[in-house]
Amino acid sequence: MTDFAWLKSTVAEVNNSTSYRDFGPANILVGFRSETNCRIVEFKSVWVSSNDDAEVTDILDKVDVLISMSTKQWKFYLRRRVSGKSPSILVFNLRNNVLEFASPMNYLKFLRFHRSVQAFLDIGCRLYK
Amino acid sequence: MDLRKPRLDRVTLCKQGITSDDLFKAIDQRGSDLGNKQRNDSQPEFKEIRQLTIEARARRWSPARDIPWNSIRALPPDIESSISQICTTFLQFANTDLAILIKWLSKIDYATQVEKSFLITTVFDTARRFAAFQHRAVVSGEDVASTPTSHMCQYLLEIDSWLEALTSLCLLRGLFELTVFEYLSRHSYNVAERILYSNVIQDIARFLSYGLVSVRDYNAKNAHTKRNVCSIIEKGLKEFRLDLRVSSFRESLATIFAGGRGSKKSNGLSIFNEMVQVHIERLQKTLTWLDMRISTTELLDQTDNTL
Repeated sequence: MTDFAWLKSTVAEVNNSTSYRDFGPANILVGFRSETNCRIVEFKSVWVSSNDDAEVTDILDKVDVLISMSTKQWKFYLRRRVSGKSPSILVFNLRNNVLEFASPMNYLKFLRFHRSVQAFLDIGCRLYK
Repeated sequence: MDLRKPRLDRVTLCKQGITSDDLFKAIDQRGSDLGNKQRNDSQPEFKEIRQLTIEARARRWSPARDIPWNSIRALPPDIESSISQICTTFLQFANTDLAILIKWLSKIDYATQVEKSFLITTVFDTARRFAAFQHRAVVSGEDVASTPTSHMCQYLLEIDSWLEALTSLCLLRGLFELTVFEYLSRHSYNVAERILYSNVIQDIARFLSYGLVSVRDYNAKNAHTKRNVCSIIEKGLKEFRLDLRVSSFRESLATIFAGGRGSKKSNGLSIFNEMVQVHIERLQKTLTWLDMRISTTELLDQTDNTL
């Protein structure tokens, strides 16, 4: 099982969720990276339109924000998030530097849609096994 | 050609060898002080601004409906008074932003409706921020605290060009506010504050996206204006340094970060210093992206451990 197997079921769950749509439209490409795996998830309007495999190299140029953690850190974050012990990914970044951006504009783009990305992760952490 | 000179009729212009092209160029130059001429609604950058306007309308929130104020429980008096103090500072910031935006909105050309529409959504966002922080300041029974007038606010209000005001609002105010809200979100005491800070962060980020792209495009076309903007930012950084020295601001944030006064305060102060460092790094990256060579190293002097 790859590190990001939970993303597939999360996308389906998010697209069925009315509470996710309450955050409003989001248009952003988010990269998820662990040591060996890489996925690009596309947020488009009030849906998540795709969830594709990607090459680890040069991924930062292809996405607006890259969330990069080791497999162990992903497990730690998602497990603790579901029990309410982990903060949002934005705050988690302040001490752990898990977010990477190609330019300051990408950083701002992430901040504009961070609530939608967080809602996606919150649904994902419930489905994570 | 200087348009501020007294009226020139067509005969005088012809005698002086001034053609209608020169005249239009001069008008364009003067209009561009408002940051809007040399652009029209069909240009590609307006597509992005139109998107931002739609986004602002679609992602708007309401302090009364979307913030669970009832999640706020009684906090120790020192923390509650610090939160009230810091909310008052944010009220002052929002007030200044509103004054600047409203002052320039009426002067921006109606030919650029897209830009005007976006700035109107920003006015609503700022007014919403004002209402939300006012409510947070008094929700636990504290009064709105008195706070010293910010040097930066006075400085921003005195700027007499839209482009310079926009650059200063983004680089001197907006970026710093984003970092402060991220740290406050990390040290928030309840769900209401977390949601409030998250919503405010997305609003400010939207305005900064508009502002930085506008400034970059404009600077790329006008080297002399870029030099003016750089000097305005350099002067503004001095005011920012003065604001960082205001003890009530440092002390309030340090108390919130540390979870109380007394022995914990030094811990809070080191988090405050870390926050300033993070802000300086982000500011330097943004200035580099805008191709503006301004040193921010002097700001590091402010990260001492005294109050």
